[in-house]
Amino acid sequence: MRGNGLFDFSNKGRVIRTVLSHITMLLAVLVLVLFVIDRVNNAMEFMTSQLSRWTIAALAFFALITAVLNIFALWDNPDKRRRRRDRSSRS
Amino acid sequence: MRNFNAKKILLVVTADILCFAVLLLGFAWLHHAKPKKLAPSGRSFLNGTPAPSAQSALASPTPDASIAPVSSEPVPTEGGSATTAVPQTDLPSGETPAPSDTPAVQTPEPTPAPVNGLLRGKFADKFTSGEIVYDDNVYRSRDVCIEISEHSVKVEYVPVHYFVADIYIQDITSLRCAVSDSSNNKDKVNELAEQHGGIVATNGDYFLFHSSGLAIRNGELLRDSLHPDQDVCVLYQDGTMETYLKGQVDLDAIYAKMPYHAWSFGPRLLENGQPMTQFNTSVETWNPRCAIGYYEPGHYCLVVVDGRQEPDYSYGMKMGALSTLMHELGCREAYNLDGGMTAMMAFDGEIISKPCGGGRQSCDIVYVAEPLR
Repeated sequence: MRGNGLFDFSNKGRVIRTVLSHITMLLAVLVLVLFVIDRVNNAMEFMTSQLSRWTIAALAFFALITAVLNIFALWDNPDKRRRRRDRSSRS
Repeated sequence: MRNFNAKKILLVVTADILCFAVLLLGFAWLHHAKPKKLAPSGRSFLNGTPAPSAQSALASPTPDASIAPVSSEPVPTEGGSATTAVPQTDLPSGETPAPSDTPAVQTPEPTPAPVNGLLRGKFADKFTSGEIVYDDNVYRSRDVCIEISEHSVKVEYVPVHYFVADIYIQDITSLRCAVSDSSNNKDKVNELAEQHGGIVATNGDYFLFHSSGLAIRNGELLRDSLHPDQDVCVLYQDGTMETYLKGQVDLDAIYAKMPYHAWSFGPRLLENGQPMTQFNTSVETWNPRCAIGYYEPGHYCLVVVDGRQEPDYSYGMKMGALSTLMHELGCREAYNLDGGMTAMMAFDGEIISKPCGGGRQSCDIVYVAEPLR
């Protein structure tokens, strides 16, 4: 599947990684905002409510998935594979 | 180096901002606007104490048979204020008594108050022998006396306007709480008070929109989870009130003493009757405030401080100033309830304070009415 030229959807793995990265980023900004306003008024329970805990858990979950996918992507990087091959052939 | 497409970046950033706005709004709605579901334990501390007919604070309104017609036409008096005397007894349930033809009673005749009441015969001159007397600032009956006063003072050279409802009751069931049963669990304080026959009312602790915090209303345990950062205030059925610092709340000890109400907002404002300087809150600065004070069993006060209406009317109060005010009023215990736009006082079905931004609806109120018998 290809996009309209602006976005390239041919690489599904890359699309998934990009989407997950954006979700992680949005959740991280949300948690930071909650952290700041909780300092202003902790009676509102911005960091301690059940919803906030689930938000933090979601951030951790998406961060973990994004990190794992990125590690695999870097591992699969063609340049890196070539360097590894070169090193092994030299030795 | 990759060749970045400016148009693409702009589009992605815009999409991110929009997504974040949606996420934030969704969070705000779920966190703030949507009331938390309560699962009342069914535990009741009412032991011989009459329960409101709508005992569950989440149930229908409480028609109070003996309540005065606070909305009836008052009789003008010489002093310019309107005072009405209404026979209090022998009224059919729910029926509104008609204004009396008897002359207005300016000063109620002191009669011996019931010695078995909360006040044990003290402040007898505050009560009447049975009729209800009220005007713009005072309500007196055989069991309830409410005196409203309005004050304009300077605190740290800025104007502050506040209202004090001085409350004398013979029966603990005169000091009740009500929770809105509307679809969004919010109502105007004066409307909620009128529904429940309240004479004077202020907002409560907004507990329905908090996920934790001890909540006991009219002797019924509605939530028994403690908020880790909030002080707790408990009014017991013997008329005493105690405030507890966070981390020092012993639920079993509270339950054993038969609580009638428990609020979770805070902070506690007095320590051994003395004003405090350190408070368990992050909102210490100038704000509209609402507080409940305790002098002795049967004698309480509700205080509402208007605020955020600079520069001429009222700035509100810092927590320290509120603590000092409650001390100067003579309270032995005092506790801060929800403030900001929520803080308001209603008397005789009207909002008498001037809430900032027009105020907001409240999910619960503290009100004074004729006792349940």
